[in-house]
Amino acid sequence: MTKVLQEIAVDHSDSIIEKAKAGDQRAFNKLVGLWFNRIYNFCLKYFDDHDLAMEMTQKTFIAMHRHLPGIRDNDRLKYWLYKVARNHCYEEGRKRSRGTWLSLFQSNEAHTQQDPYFHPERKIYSTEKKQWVGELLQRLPEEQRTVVIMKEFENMKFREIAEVLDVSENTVKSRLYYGLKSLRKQIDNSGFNYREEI
Amino acid sequence: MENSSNHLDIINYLYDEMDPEEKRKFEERMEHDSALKEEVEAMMETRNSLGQMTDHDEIDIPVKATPSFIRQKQETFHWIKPLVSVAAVIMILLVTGYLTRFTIQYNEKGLLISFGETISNQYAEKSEVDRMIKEALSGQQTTFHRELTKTNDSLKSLSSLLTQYNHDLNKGTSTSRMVSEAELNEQIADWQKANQTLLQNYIQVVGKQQQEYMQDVLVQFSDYLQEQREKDLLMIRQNLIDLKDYQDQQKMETNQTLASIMKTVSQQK
Repeated sequence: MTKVLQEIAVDHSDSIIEKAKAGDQRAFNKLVGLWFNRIYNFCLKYFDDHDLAMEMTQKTFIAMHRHLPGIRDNDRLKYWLYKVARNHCYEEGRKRSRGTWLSLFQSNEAHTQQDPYFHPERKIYSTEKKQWVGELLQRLPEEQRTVVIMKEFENMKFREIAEVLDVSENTVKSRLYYGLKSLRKQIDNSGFNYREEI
Repeated sequence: MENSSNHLDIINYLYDEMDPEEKRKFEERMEHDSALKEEVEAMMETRNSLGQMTDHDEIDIPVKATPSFIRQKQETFHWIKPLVSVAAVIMILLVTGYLTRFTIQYNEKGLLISFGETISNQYAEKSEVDRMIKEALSGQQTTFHRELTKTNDSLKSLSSLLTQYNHDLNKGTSTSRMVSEAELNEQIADWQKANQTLLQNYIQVVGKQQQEYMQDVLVQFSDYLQEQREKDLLMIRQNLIDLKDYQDQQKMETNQTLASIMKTVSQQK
């Protein structure tokens, strides 16, 4: 219920944005309150790491505070926020991949086998399905992961995702297809029969 | 291409992006294509498994994301940034000064700034400067005289050469004039002779041509006269014939008239 009310508020936040643009601190606070949860959840699914997700979300809202007066069309705030959040996540991911360059020489499957903490069945039976799905998402290429998160968890339209990522709708659909297929493959390889569990 | 189209169809079906007609056709396809049906079902299951990962409903907004913190952070950076900039500029100046051996001196004569070698403070005295100027002037004067003499010598030699050349030229011109007159007379005589011959030949040719032309003209005129005479004679003859015929006719008519009169008179009697 709270979530629904929040979404309604997001859709009717034009006056709040105008006030925040004019320098009203309370309006800016409200705007952060409206969007913080969504951006945080996007970042959380991107990294599967609370601390990183918080850091990227904060960076996104610091950027919003700086650039809000420059956003002419209030309807585009949503795309702008997701774009900034995604860019921050992408840069952070790139920095981290440089730090762990050795992992480039290891395949996903090998990593799955060698990681002592990765055991899907154990995760499920220890009622941590969420974490398991989060880990599966991390194994997707960045482009596919972003599209899957935006479509499956943020319920964005294909047109909206295409605008945020600056690609065509067909490219978004294609990335989503391969993302879902890759996830399916990982689930099958894990040996866990998900159908029986649900 | 077909695969790509399939992918898009599957995604459109899964996310309800098809209109009813497209959806019906796709479901028909799935009924006939078991592989496609399996793939779509697998995708649906994958989506269901993703559904296990729910959002964190309530997140406490950290202090760091509030405007006051952001502003404070920006204000902190406001005084740090210029400080860092000034320090960087000073460092750059120091390093540049060291590398270029930058020197600043201050003494009773003023502030002296230099790069490289140190500035010398020794100035020349007035008498020494005068002496240097005189030396420079006398040296310049000597050089000027030397150059002037050289120029005069060159001019003299050039003048003598010109005189010699002029003399040779006059002599050569007079010789060439004598030769030219004799040759010219001879040449003129030749030309006159040639012209005379040419003129004679021309007169002869022209006279002959005129004679021939006159003969032709006379012959033609004679022929013309003869022809005209013949025509005139023919005409006269014809006229005479016509006249005789007319006389004969008149005579006959007169006779007939006389005969008629005589007949009439005899009848009246």
